[in-house]
Amino acid sequence: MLTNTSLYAEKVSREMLISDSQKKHGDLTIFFGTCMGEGKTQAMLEKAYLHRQKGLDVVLGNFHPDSLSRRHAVMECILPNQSGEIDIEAILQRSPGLVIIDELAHNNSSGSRHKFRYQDIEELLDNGINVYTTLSVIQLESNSYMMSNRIGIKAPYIVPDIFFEQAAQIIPIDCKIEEIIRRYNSGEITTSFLTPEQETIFFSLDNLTLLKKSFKKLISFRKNESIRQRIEANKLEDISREGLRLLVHIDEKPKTERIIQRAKELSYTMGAPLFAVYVYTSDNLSNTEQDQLNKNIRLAYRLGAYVIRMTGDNWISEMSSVIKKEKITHLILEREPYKKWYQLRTPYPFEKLIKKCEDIDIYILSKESSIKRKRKIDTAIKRPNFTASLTNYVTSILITISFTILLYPLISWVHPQAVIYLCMIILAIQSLFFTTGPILTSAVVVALIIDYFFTPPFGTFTLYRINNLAMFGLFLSIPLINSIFANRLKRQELMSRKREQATNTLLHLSKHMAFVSGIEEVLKVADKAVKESFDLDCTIILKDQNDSLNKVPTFIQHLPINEEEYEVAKWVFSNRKSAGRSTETFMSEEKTFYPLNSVRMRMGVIAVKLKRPFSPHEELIWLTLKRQISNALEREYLNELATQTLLLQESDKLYKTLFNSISHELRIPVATILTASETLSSIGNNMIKEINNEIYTAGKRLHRLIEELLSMSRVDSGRLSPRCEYYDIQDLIGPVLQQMKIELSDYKLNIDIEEDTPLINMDLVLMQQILTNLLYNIINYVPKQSQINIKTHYENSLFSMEVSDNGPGFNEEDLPHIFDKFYRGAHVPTGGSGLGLAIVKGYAEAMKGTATACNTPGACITVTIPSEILIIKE
Amino acid sequence: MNNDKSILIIDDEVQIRKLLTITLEMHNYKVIVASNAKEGLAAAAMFAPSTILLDLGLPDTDGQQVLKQLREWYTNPIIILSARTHEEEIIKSLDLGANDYLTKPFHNGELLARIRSAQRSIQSNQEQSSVLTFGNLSIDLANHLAKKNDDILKLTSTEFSILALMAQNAGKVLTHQYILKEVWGVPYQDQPQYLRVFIAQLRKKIEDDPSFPSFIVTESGIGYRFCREI
Repeated sequence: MLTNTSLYAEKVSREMLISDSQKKHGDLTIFFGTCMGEGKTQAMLEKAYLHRQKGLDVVLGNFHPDSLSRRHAVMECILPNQSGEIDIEAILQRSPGLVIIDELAHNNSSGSRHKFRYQDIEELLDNGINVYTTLSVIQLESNSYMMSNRIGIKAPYIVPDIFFEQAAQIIPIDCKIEEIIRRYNSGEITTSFLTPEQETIFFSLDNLTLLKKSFKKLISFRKNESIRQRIEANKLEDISREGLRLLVHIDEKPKTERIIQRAKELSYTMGAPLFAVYVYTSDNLSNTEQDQLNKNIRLAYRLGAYVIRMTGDNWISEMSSVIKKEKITHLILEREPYKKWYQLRTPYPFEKLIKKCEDIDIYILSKESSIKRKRKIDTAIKRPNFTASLTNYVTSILITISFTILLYPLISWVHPQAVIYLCMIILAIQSLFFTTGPILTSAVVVALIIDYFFTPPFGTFTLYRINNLAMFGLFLSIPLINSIFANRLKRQELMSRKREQATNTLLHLSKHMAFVSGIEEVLKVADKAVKESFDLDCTIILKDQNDSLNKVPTFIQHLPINEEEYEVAKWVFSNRKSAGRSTETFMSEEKTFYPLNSVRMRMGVIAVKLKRPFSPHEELIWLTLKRQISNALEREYLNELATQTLLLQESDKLYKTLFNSISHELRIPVATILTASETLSSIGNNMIKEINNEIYTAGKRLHRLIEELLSMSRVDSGRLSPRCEYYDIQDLIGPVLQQMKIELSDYKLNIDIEEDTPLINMDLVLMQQILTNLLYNIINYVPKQSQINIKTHYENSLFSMEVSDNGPGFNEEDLPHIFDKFYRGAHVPTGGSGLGLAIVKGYAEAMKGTATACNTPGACITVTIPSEILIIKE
Repeated sequence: MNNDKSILIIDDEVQIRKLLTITLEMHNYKVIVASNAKEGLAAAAMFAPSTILLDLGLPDTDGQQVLKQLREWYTNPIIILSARTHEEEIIKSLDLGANDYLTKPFHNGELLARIRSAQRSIQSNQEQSSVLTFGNLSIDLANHLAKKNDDILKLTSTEFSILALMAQNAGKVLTHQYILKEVWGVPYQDQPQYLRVFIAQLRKKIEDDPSFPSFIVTESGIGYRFCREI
């Protein structure tokens, strides 16, 4: 039981060492061209073929053997799965050194694990498999604007630029334009996604020149490969103003998509990295706006921009702080429409920003004509709110009318003007509670009533005097203004309450997490937090002791997980990426699965059923929450481990104490007997000497027996921890032979040590004991004057020591049992304990080695232990 | 050194004490016995014996502690008596200033030889010459030369440093750590493999049969001893 725990502890500590960075990551090589028909695929196949000739393990991922030339057909093909897509599972299982996949741009059929082929490739790379693939300019996401606007053709599948930027190697396939046109004209190039007319447009000289330009631009951008590394290094080391840096602002408008794409194009042209900043303000976004925002942010990620999220009400100051921090040199804006005469409002927001950051260049993109933009007032918050339920309307009107009726008796005592003021007050008060719609309606109603009953001529709607008309205007405008401001206040309050709530949840969670102990308690708190902050039910699946995801140790299970979903959870666990709904992997699932990873290890998976995708703000909170849960879980996990280790140590200590005291008690009397008998032999007469000799021999035997029993006990306890160091092989054999000089004097020794044996990594004391036991074994069973051979050999990081004799050898039926404890062959003379060889095996195994026996024809035992060659630096 | 032949035995096992007394007295040593650390320290102070045999497993104080206290003033040889499987304890004791060690059970002859050797090394330390001779091997410390059968040996400077260090401490066990510290310096103390490589080379040059070294003898798990007698 204890041994099991120690093994477990060892395993965990080993796992902790393997962090993400140590995990081997595959390299992606892209054969990059301008358009189809340039011979990318052939170039790739040829290169792969050459690799294969050199002995690399190459596999073709999506080729059919029949489509290959005879030369290339020797390479192994992995055929597609049932849905016709690349069979990633098969490739992962096969685990080759290099996979060749044609066409990076491709959308998988529905029901596949991933939505896009590039995600498949990502998974392969994550598992340490190198990938070769092809890609052309027209398939890059940043070029899709150019494609649709300037060429008028849309590529069917596109690939995020980040793949192009982060690929380990780009191999340009540069075919002359004339050659492409020639190939097209001779019918060598066929396209599946273009109509004949489109084809003619596409393969025109103008068009191809445009594409070629883009190709050259991209290649030179890649040549300047250090850009990305430089940025990463800059985070540590401040190199001021090195190179150009572009910044673009992300907001929730649909046109931003285009702006980001064009900014990326610009970034390629200038060879400068692109940053994209999104400022989360208190603005309340509608669901469509939210979706658009998420889309924009994701696009920026895909295009390889560095996305920065900021929070703050004043987005101008947030932006300018980003500009300073990241040393932005160029700000990219889109041309704003000229102001119409009635737009006397504040200067448009970027103007303020430009004023604030004087030392950066502004790049203004041309206005896009193809998309009609609706001018809207900037944010929802400044718009009066007419939406209200019918009851709100009815209540507001009823309150107003009943109040006016109450006022009616006053008409004979006071001036009608006073009544009007009172009515106005009541409207103003109401505007604090109702939205603009009901208030405006009530205002109209009350104005009519006053006009009819309280102003002369009474009983008619006629207005005599001009000031009555003004009054009517007042009735409408005051509540309107009031309600706009009240509404704004209300929303702001709602917003800040929302934010505060989120902050509170996190604070609360970290407080609770800090005080609970035990994995179960942590999970309970986590469950509650998810429920309270997101109103979501969750299921948490934890890993088991063997570091794999197991269905059994699930404490929180609000959502039942079926077999299929369990497989998804397993995938999430091992790939450390989220999957399921609203992600791009296993999209058909109705739940979303997120990995619970702490800094050092993975803890499990959390599954939730999202009602709608997270907003960026919610996502941040969700990530923080997830991290807190993971960290708390890790803490508990390590705690448990520490307790177990402590227990183990305690029992180890107890064992050691007991073992030491028992061995002491056993050894001392024997030592006394041996010393006494030795002393005696130097003084007595012959008779005494002879008797004494017997005492000495018996004492010696007892001594060996005790030592063997104690050694065996150490082997059996599993507490034998060899202290391996590098030793000269002479240190092993010399001292043992010296020690056994007397016993061995009757035998012929033949020692064969290889001349160039390196230092061997071993526990010298254990190894000497092994040799001693082997020699004693021979002395016990083989007649005197026989020959004893000791031979050592070192090869392939294995050191072996062979001890043999030219005696009768082992009985064939004994051979399988000679390493068993207390096993003593039939017809053998007494003298041994039957433990000697069992200890040899035990010690050898403790050093991760083996012990084997055979007849040659004399008995021969070989002990082999692993030992790497020591490299010494001087 | 008032009495050349007095030996103090500090051991809690009465039988061992008795036997040691008999053996040593037979060889004309004057024996003083102590059964625990307190008595031992008192006896050492009172009689200033020429050698102390110290058992590490004492009932009242840890043997290492006794050794430390003794070494504060006592300069004559101290030989450790210990059970077989306690290499770490032995190494620690040697580093604390013990001259030699014996594991129980030991032969009487061995014990007497160790006592003689330890006593001699104390004397030779006081009158060390610049040329040390051991059988057919001679080491000239002043000129950095080692000769075997009058042939000059080609030794690297590290090899010579090791040889010189060991020869100057002939008869005494030197722990790996001690040699490493003396020859390479403190940072190398945990790298015994350095030492092993050089010892292997050295043996090839100075030993008649490197498989059965007669000069540099391995003390399993502890260190090396340079043998004085051949």
